[in-house]
Amino acid sequence: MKTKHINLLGSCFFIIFLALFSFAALQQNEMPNAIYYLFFLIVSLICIASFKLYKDVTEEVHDLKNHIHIMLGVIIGGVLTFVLNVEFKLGAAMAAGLVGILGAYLPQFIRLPKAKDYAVPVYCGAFVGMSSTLVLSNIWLVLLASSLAALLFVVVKNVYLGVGGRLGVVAFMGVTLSTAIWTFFGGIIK
Amino acid sequence: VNSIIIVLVSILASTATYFVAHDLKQGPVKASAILSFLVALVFLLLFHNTAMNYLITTIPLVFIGASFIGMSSKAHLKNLAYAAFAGLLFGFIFLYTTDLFKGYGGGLGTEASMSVLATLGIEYLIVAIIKKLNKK
Repeated sequence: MKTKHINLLGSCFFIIFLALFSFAALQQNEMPNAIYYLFFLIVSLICIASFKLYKDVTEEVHDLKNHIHIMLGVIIGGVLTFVLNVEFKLGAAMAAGLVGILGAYLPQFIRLPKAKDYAVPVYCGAFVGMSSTLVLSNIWLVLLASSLAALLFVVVKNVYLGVGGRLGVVAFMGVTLSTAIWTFFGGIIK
Repeated sequence: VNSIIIVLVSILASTATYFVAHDLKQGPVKASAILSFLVALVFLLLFHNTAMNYLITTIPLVFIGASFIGMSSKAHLKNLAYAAFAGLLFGFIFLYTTDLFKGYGGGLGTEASMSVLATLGIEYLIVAIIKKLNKK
């Protein structure tokens, strides 16, 4: 696939999941009317901004060989955060912060090649690991979610750079897709 | 009172992260991670004996979520005022969506990017209106 198609795919994924999230939020019953309309306003503003931003994507070449360390970073970040959060009971925010700091400083400290590339994917993985045990019940499910997030991270790599929360959306995609897969195959096995 | 405190915390978090990331030139990941780690640590140390109530468990989460806004690049959110506005929006979005995706990793990040994109949308709209007015 060409880079252009991957970029298009990435931004489609991004917008679909944003829309899913916003419209699922609208389904809540106890929401006052004013807030309901405010949400519609916000969603339409998001549409305007995302169409405008799609025009200035960078056309960097996708090569899977160069992205393996990035994907490993996402997976390691996810599993590590989940372990810190659940086994050591640090709490989601603190575990993610700790893993983010580790991801930013440790690769430079032990002089890994391309040390600066690890900070962002590890922090993205950390968001996957912030999930509670009600959603991702065991470590294998976390592994699945963070691997999916790693794949999607490479797909979405070039679109919406510098929009805050982009990593969070990638993590959210990984988590929702993996829970969907889990419930689907769980139903078949039963 | 709880909701006002949450909105204030989210404004504070987004502006503080933006300040550390761009004005102190630490880079977005370090800024967000260090600040939210410190806040979570302070809350853990101060309140580990008291009974868990809503604010104590929620403020670290609001802080880390709003700090994602501060991770935006300078090309998108041009100065602190934009970050503060996005933080305000994040506070509202957080108050009305938390129950639904509770415990889904990345839900906070999605809320943050909703607020950033909405802020950008307002900016683009205003720019477009001003251009049209100037043409007339």
